[in-house]
Amino acid sequence: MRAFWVLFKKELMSLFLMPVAYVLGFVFLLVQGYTFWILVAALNNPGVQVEQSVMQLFFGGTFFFWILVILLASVITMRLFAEEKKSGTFDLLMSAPVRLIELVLAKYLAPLFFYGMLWLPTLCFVLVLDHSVSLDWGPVVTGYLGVFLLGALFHAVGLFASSLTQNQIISAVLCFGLCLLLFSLSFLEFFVIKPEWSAFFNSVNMMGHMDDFGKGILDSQIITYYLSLTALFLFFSLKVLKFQSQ
Amino acid sequence: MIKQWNASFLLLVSFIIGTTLFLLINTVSSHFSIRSDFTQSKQYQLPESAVTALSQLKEPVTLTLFYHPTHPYYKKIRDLLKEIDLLKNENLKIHLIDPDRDRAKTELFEKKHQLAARNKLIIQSGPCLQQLSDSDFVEEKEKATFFKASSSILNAILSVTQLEGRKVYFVTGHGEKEIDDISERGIAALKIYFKKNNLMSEKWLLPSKKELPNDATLLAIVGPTKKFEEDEILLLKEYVASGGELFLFLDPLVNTGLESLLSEWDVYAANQVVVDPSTGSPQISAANLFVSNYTEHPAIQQMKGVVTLFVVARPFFDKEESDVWTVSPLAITTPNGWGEASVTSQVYQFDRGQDTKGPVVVAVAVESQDPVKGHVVIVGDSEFVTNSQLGNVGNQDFLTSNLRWLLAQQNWITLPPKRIQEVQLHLNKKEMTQIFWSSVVFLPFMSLCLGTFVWSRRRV
Repeated sequence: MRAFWVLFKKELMSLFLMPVAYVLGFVFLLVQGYTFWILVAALNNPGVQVEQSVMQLFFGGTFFFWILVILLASVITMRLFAEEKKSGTFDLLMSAPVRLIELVLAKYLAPLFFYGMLWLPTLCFVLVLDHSVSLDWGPVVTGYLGVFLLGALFHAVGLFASSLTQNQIISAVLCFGLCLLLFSLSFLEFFVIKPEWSAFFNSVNMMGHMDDFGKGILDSQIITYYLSLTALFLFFSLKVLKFQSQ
Repeated sequence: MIKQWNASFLLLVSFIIGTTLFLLINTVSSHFSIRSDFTQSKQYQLPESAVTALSQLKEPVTLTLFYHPTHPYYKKIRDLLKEIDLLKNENLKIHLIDPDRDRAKTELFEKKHQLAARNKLIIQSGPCLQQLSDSDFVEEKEKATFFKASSSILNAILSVTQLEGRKVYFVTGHGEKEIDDISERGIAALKIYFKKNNLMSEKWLLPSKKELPNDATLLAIVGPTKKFEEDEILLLKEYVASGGELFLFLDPLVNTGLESLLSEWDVYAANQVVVDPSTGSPQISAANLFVSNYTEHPAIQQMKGVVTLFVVARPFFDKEESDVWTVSPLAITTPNGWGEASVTSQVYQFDRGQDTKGPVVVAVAVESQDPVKGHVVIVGDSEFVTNSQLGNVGNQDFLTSNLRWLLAQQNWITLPPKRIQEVQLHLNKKEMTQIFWSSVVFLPFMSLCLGTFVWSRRRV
């Protein structure tokens, strides 16, 4: 466990000491802030009539949200193992007296923590809005939970992609592609006629999941889906790394 | 080499095991899922009474939604059906069909059940079937939109499963049309039609029983030709006053004694025949009314473009004397129609002073603000529901619309409709500027400052 904390801190420090991380933060907050302001401005227009609240639209209701979450996971995780392999420290790391699971968890949780820290300032948007209108905090909390679960899954995918290659660009592209594939399952629901298939694609519909989170609905089936898929990709990464270390 | 192959094989096996476990966990979780609503108003949660009623359902019921996913209410209804599905009652089966993409299934269903399924939720149990459409899901009230689908769906499910409890009593003893009469002028077809709508029909000989049934879902009086006694009129008055639903078909030029009762409900039934030469062809009498003008009253929904043929009708007028009852016109003639007083003449001609100028009302709905009181639909013709006329043009649609409205007033369970909240912000310019500066400028700028600080410290 001690080794885990050492590795976790090292990963976290390397992330927070990189100026690129702050540029990433700048772009993230700029796009999120702009999206939020556009949504508020749209809903402040008496001509616009929608049933969804600002926060419901903010959590998964826009194109910016999805592209940003997928891109962010790809960029943050691309260097995790790929960089170690490229610089030749991978074998050293594997021969160190550290359990593989601790290494994988430390490499996974540090960027996930960074992802959480990126989202944290967006709470200011909610507080500013709450200052002006009466806000239902239930959907806000579930919305953030959805954002976290989605991030957890995409980061696990990123870790897996990074474990497969020593090229950071390939890792990022692979992660982006896999996340996009998982996301695009959302649309397949509209292309099938058979009720069984329709029900299946509905259960993996990420846009639908985020819609539920944003509305204030927590469904154990959806939470299980995200947690189990995250665990599956972490398990895949673990096995791939074990295979590579042999 | 062999070691490498073994390692690859083990990797593949572990991938397969991991994936299988993932699928297994998700299959199990789909069967035991729990859904919680964290909104303040519990907007998406089924009320406790609905959960209890649906969980205790013993009969198999199928709910088939024929809505296109882009329909404005699709998502709301789908979410509600999902909530119902999560009750895990094996007797409840839910199917979502997109009528545009799955045309074959939709057409087959329509052919089998002889109905238009598009934009409808069909609820079936055995031979019983109920159709719900937009007007059953959403209600406009005081400039706000209310979602009342949970109440409508629940009552429809209960109505198809509890057939024995729903009865329509046809009052007899005053020359009314008979439900056993299969001749052209009988109303045996009406009995069959009611059965299709999950209503059992029974006759009620009022003059001999001297009381009204206490288990009536609906009371119908179809074309009486003899006068009602005073005590019978009093019984009918009390029946409606205590919440009973009444469907009244009164022919012109017949004094039934019910006119005084109608007068108490603020309806004046004129002793005239409605004439409208502009709607029919020259070959048929101007008294044969082809009505296609309907009001916006909920009792007359979805009749746009549908014509109802009233064989000979009497007009009704709102007396507007009391505040207790509200009289709403349902079907109206064109402005060229009128109420003809001199019915003995061969040619219908509008006589100023004698006749009543059109447009003339031929059907009205009577309701009260007092929720205890019942509802009445009065139609100025009983011929249009006879065996020979019920299937004519839109007569059945007219009947269906009114019947559904009357039945909707008698729900097993009343669930409060939920207000559809149109999320509108009312922020002033100052607040908008504050939001812009804090979200678009301040936070990203802070991140950039922090980055510059870290970069400068690392350089040092």
